[in-house]
This record gives sequence, structure tokens and C-alpha cells, in this order.
Amino acid sequence: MKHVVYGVFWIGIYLLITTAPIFVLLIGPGHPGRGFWREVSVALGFAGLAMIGIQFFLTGRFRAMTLPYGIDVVYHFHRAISLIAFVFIFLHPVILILSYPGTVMLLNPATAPWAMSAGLYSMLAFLVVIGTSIYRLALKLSYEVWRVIHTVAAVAAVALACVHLLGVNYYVEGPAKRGLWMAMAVGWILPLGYVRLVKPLMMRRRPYVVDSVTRERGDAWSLTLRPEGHDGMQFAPGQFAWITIGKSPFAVREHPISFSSSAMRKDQVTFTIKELGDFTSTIGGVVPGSCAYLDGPHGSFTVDRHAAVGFVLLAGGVGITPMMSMVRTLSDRKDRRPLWLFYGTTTVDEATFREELEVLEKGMNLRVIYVVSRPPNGWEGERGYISAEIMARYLPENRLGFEYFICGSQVMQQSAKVALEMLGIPLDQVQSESFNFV
Amino acid sequence: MREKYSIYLALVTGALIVFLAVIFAWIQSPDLFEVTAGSADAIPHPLEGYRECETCHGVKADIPYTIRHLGWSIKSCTRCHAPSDTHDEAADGGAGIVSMDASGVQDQKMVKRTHQ
Repeated sequence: MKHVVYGVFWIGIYLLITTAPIFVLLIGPGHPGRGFWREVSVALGFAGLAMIGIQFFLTGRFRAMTLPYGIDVVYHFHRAISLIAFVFIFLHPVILILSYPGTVMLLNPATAPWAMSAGLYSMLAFLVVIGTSIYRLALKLSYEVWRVIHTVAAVAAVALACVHLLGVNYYVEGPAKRGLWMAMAVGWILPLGYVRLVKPLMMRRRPYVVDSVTRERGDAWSLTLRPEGHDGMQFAPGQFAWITIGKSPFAVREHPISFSSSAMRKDQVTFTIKELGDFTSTIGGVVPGSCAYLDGPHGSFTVDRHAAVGFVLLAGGVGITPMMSMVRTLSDRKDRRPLWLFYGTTTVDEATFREELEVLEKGMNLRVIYVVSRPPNGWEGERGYISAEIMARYLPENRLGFEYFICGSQVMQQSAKVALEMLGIPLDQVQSESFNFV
Repeated sequence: MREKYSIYLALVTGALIVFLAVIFAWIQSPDLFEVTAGSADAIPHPLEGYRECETCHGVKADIPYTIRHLGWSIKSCTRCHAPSDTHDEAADGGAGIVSMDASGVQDQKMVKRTHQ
């Protein structure tokens, strides 16, 4: 309930910040209206600018803001709302031109007033932000290059938009209103400074050392870090952190990876990473003794947020990582609640942590069911993909009292949710996290 | 599911912002709705030879229009104001011009009354 209240609170704050500037414009000496559609265009322009500005807060990883929803929901919202903001900003000149065709001349930077050109360039910068995010893979941009372009273009878009509105100087005359907009612009950039400067400085005071890099089944590596000069990080099982490996926490190269170790262990933390992309394929080459930095913990995908009589974990491929953290943690806590782990894997040999899971099964109330899509000859276990039929064979009658966790590819998550729906599991008892942003 | 939830949240937020933008525009320029209510006054003179409304009725002209019309183009004038059917050309000598005394005061008041 607390999270629902906080969730509504933050949406209210968002609406207030994006729309209050529109109504602040009405304060002070009356501004004559200039036609309904012209004023709609202006209002959308102001709202669009405020929405872009708040984007810096959405990706600032502020836990108070992300906890009610889960950080993945905030990041997905960031993506979706940026498209809506771009539509508003695009409509701003389009409505003006449709209502007053003569204003199309203002789009020619060679002859238009500088304030209008600034607006045009702002929109182009925003187009770069949107385009490179949606088409990053098609443009063959590495994550690090994309991140630099994203930040620079976003700052340019906001700065040029502010130049545009202060240059047009309608509704923002007077030191109070101009000061307000400049203060808002500075305020929007502050979270960027926090993430790129303040936070790395804080991380620099809490470094980690790579203790070991261990090969696991299924083309995965377990990276174990030991805190140096501090107590380490308290996290909940299932959460993740952004990892930077190297000498500097200011590096652009940081990636979100789930903890795979028990949350009860303070002396070290382990991340298990499957070789999938440009960064993860280099993990095997990390040398023990290397410096690392962590920004975390983040995420709401954890058993600790849900009081349930039992848990059902559905893992596909590398999705086993946060599940392992949950299983190891519950084992260390001597938790006797029933636990089912449905582990979808291509082959039995690729099932990461297979040996450890066999040991854990004997020491706790855990049942591991492997669902193998390419089973070996003589395989007597489950075949294919995790389905409602397979789960129904193992889950007891009181399965409606359990909490369900899904981690895997987008396709796997979607099919697992459908399977759970077929079993009559209410969706508010199904937890997942989706990190396919860019 | 979580991605869809975020998208729905964004769409609802966007719709609310559009709604508030429309409210703002209506506060500033409610004329869009006044047009449909038919409250615009008739023009008490013919339009022939008097198409450049701003010559007489611009902000700095002799018979200025209301400040709320500032920034509107000439094409907007006849969207809302039409020549009166009862206009009597014979009464003003067929010239179709509103008579004005030397100061222009009397007739300014008459024109302002019809345009407010």
C-alpha cells in the first residue's frame, strides 16, 4: 500500500512540474491571447520542454523515486514519455504553420530570427536523441558511444530550447519569469551532474577488488568482488548494480548486472554474467586484482518485498542469476518455505549452477525442475519450454498463495506470464524485470 | 507486462498534459467557442473597398479592435464578423462609410460598441 501511495505521489509531482510552468505564464500582467490554436501550440511547446527537462531526473537512479515502481518501469517510462514529449515539441511548429502558413518562413535558419533557429536546432538535437536510442543497433553504435551522444544531444536540446523561449520572450518577460525558467533549466541538469560527477566521487571512496573470475556452465562467468576499505553493500536478493571495471568510476562503461551471491554475505559479492554482447564477452578477460566500482543496489525484483507462503522462480538462460541470489539467501537464512525453481535451458550441460543446485536441493525445501529444449538421449525430465502443463505437474493445490518471479528473455517472460495466467495466478502475484531499453 | 504498464502510464500522462494545454489555450483565447456561439458583432459597413481591416481597426489605428484580437490576421476578421443585413446604403449616401465627425469620437463609440 505504501508503494501505491508513493507511486501516485510521484506521478502527481510529474504532472505538477510539467504543467505548472504553463499556468505560471498566466501570472502577472495579462498576456493577450493570440488565437486558440496558437496558444495550444505554445502550451505544448512549454510542456514538451518541461518533460524533456524531467527526463534527467528519471534516469538519475534516485531510489526514493524508483522504489514504488521498480527501476525498469521508470526507465521504460523514460523511453515512452520521451516519445510523447517529442510529439508535443514537433506539434508546436506544425500547429503554428497550419494555423498561420506564413510562419513556415521561420523554419529557414538563413533568414529566421536567431530565437527561431535555436528552436529548430533544439528539435533536431532531440531528434538525434530519439533516433540514436531507437536505432542504436541498426546504426551499429556501441553502448558507450550511444551514451555519450545521448547525454550531449539531450543537454543541447534543453539549452537550445531555453534560448528559444527566452529569445521569443512572450510569456516569460520580467526577471521573475526569466529567472524561473533559467532556474528550472539548471535544476534539470543537476541530476546529470549528480550521476556523472557526484556519484562517481562517492563510489571512488568505496572501491572493490576483483577476487576471482570463475568459468560457469552455459558460457557464463562469475565475477566475485571484495570491498576494499569499507563494509561492502547491503542488497536484497534479486537486486542488481551497475558495475564499472577499471581504474575510474567516471568511465562511461558501466552495465547493470544482477547479484548472484547470497545477500547474507557481507565480505564479498558475486555477479554471474553470460557472454552475450560487447561488454559481457570481455568478462572472462578481467584480471583478479582489478579495481571495480558498484552503483547500487537497485531494483524491486526481490523475495524480500513480498510476504508469501512460498515462492516459484521461473528462470530462462541467464535469468538464473538473480534466482540464484534468492535461493542462496533463503538457504543462508534457513528459510523453510517451499521453493520451486523451473529452469529453462537449451541443454542440460548449459544449466549454470547445476551442481550447486543439487546440493541446495538437499539442504532446503527446494525443488529444481529443468525444462530442456534440446534434451540429450535418455533424458527423462521435462522437455521443451516452461509451460502451464509442466508447472501444474509440480505445483501444489495452494499455488495461489505463492509469489512468482520470472527472469529471462522478453519472449520467455511473455510466455511464462501467459502460462501463469492459464494456471489462474493473479498478475499482481507475478514479478519480473525487463531491461531491454536500448 | 511491466513495459506495457510504463507505456500506459506515459500515454495517460501525455493525455492529461494535452487536456491541460487545451484548458490553458481556452483561458487565453476562448474565441474558438465564441465563434460557434455566434456572439460576434456584424460589420456596420460594406466590405467593398474596405478589405484591409487593420487600416482602421488595427491596434494603433483610429478605431482599434479589442486587445484580445492582437496578433490575429486579417483573414480572421471575416470568420467571425459579417456585414450586417440591415445596413442601409442610402442613409450614408451610398458610400457605405460610417460617418464620423471631426473628432471621430461619436462614431468611434458606436463602432466600439458593436465590436465589444
